[in-house]
Amino acid sequence: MNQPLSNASKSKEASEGSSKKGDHDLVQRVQAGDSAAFRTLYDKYHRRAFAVAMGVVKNEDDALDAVQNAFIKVHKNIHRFQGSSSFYTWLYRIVMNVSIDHVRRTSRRKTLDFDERALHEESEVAGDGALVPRVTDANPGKAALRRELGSAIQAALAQLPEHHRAVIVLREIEGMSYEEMAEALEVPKGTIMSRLFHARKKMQVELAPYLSGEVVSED
Amino acid sequence: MDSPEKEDEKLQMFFDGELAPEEEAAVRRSLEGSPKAAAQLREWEHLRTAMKSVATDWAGEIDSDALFARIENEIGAPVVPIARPKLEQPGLRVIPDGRERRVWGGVATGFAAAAAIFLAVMAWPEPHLDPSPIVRGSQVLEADFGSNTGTIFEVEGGAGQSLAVIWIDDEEVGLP
Repeated sequence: MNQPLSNASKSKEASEGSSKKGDHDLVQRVQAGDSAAFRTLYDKYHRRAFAVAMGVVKNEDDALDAVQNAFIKVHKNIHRFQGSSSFYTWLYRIVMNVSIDHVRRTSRRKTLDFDERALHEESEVAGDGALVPRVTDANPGKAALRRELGSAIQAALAQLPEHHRAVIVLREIEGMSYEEMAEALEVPKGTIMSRLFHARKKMQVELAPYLSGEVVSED
Repeated sequence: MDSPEKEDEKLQMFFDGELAPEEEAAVRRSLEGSPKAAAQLREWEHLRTAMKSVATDWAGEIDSDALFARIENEIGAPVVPIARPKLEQPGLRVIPDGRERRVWGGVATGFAAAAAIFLAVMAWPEPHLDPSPIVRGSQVLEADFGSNTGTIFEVEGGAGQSLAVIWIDDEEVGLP
């Protein structure tokens, strides 16, 4: 490969320019009380917001709660949005903050006893109420592999400090630039680069068996 | 030659498409002689592909309408004012039969003042038994007025000595 993504990201930037303008118009309509515009923004971003939240919190229900709370906050505070940053960096900042808050809250109230936790883990392995949503794939073997990979990625993400998790999720899942991540997470670009490097390093160690290139395929 | 940290940083920026074109070209040239860096790039690419594919699966599972209904429900919910507990004014207590309490309080205060004077006089040394010079003045280290207010007086005794008199008011603080 050895091909940087600069060309891809440049064309992405071009399409994002018009997208930003579209978002700005939608935001103005929501500010004027247009609920259909709010629904349009939701339709555009909720799946991506959910994927980002899934990378930070531990399960689907928590990620849904995080997205729900994030959009409620967006609606509540949209009159404050001035448009100096792009809507989606603002949205992802909210999603990240809500998700990280959720992780902190749940880690503070670890009340499950050992046996109960062990039961949950068994059911996850068995696939009942699995952490990773089931993949409907025509090839059952491949579907099982992807499900396993999903679990492994979530487990590896869970090992990261929350700020490292946020950076790698925004970069690898959302494809945000360093500048956008710095804006969304309100930290300097150098901090983003350093966190991303360490996050990748840890993920490589945790996912070593899966990163040979055989398990992963993008079909 | 850059430090290893700087090399790593550049390689990561190259991978993420964050380098200027001329720097990008320089890194690409350097990769030809660095299988280690090329391997690193491949691993990062696998990681990215894995995370993207899993995220696609995650996002495909949402019931969008149900989630939006939840959001709408919260947004449209009437704002219920939070019931705040009624705070009592600190220090204010309602005492039944306040006037009666006040009378008994006065009597008790009178007794307390009389007892204080009696004790002060009794404790005062007899001048003819004690050859040491009389120390004038008195010192009150502490006075506990409870919920009442009071005053400490210094009065002159019969032999010209100074006595401390503590007067406790019969009205409790904060009562009308």
